[in-house]
Amino acid sequence: MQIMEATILGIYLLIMIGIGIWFAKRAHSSEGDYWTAGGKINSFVGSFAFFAAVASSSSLMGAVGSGVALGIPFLLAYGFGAVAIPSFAMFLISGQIRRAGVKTLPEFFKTRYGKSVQIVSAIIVVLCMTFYMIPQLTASGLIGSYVLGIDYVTAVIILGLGFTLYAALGGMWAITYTDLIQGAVMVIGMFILTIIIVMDHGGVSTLIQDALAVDPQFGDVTQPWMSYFGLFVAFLWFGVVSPSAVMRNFAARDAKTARRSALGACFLYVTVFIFGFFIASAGASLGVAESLENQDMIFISVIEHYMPPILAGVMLAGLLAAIMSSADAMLLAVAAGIAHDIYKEHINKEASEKTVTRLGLVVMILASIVGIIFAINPPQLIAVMVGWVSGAMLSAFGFPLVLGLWWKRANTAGALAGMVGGTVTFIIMALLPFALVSEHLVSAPVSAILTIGVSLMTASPSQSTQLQVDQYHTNIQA
Amino acid sequence: MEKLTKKKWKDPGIIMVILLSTIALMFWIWWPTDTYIGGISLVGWAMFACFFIWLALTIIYVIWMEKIEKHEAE
Repeated sequence: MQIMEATILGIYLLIMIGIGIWFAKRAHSSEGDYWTAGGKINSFVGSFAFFAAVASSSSLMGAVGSGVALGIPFLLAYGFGAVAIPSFAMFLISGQIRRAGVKTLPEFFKTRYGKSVQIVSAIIVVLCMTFYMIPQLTASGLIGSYVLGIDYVTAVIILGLGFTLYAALGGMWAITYTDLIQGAVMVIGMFILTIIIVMDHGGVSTLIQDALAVDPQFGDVTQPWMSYFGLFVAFLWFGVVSPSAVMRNFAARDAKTARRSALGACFLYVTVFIFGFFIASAGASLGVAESLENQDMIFISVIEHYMPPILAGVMLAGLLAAIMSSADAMLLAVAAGIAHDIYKEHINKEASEKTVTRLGLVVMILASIVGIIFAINPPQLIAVMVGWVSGAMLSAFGFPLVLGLWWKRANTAGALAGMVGGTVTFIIMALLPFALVSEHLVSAPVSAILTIGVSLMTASPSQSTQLQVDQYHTNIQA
Repeated sequence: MEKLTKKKWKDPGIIMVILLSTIALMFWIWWPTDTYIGGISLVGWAMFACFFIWLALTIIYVIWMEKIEKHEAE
């Protein structure tokens, strides 16, 4: 057991749970407060919140692990798409979806297309976000087992249940405010680690040469073009199709705040990927990648090698923070999908707000247990698992959402066909032997063709729906 | 309604999406795997450079939108 690291981690988690309890009363006062923090978050907090929700364990451990295992261009392809996540979502959907005045992604589908699309989308959100818990739990298990000296499985179970308790208590209020701390710890921690690495190697070019001396393929493109392109597309669209990122957009005070938050998040992403580049180079120069049981452990090896225990503790807390904020936002999306979009909307319309938030809590615990079961034996590298989730969501939601906002001819039948067809194609592609993380390069166009084709072959939406689409674009202030 | 339909295609967001997609497309067609700088493929360096281009596009968009809002308020 690493005593210093474990103590710092313990203190950190206690502070975060304390904040969760502090905000619990406020969060449970209304549904709006619980799901979207009452829409009162400012730009500064919003930047870190958006960033921390999207910059999951994958952005840190996963990107570094994949950069060492598959060559640094793989990490840079990841960043190439990921840095644009907040911007691309803002350009394409943010203003319009805010004007729709809805709280969750399935709720938007209901106002635009009707109940059938809402139910299908809520089911897909729940499935994707539950699967998305697997890489988060894998990463937390790796950190936990290293720091606490316990076995990986026990670490996954303890930390997974800890996250659930914290997210369930406070809803979006707690998550958003702790994200400010988590985002800051993550960026500052990576910055300090980068400075130590560069000083240790005597400069940037020496660092790169050291990495190349140990692994001559470190600077090479080792995978097919499709894998890099697939990774780029999956992450570029992540902010558009990820319910956890979309829910962040609703938490901002107004449109101006939402835009400035997205800019802040983009800047934070650039810094994290620059630091990630240095950390991966240091990881390659250590020459331990082949000996690790799980190559996503490389980030922890770098921290351990270069940092003194006290800083390593802070850094590991930062990593765990990244995982915690993403996992919590996902749990909230799963809970919202079932409690808000299915139960309240279709099963018990008279349900009190308290009943809905309590049901959300039960759903979070169940989703977390399912995630834990799968994370005990993770199927792939973290970066690849995140790429799959993003690709699946793009295949299901990308075109029904964007066309729903921009094309008034898109109708219910088209959206249903696009959503179901895209998802089924993605699953078939995932079962076939194909280049890594490129399934959605086939399934997303299939979804687009089905959404457009079926919409054109069936009746136009009502005049009021078409007017509604125009109204998404009328008032720039909204 | 016709006027509204036309207006939405002048949205700064759509212009930025087109710019971002064009830059990305040029890169994916170019794909210079065999040129190396400092031991790392030019593919990697080009993607690294794009981090800053994406940030610049975002800054331009935010300023642009705030100018439009100010203009409309006046």
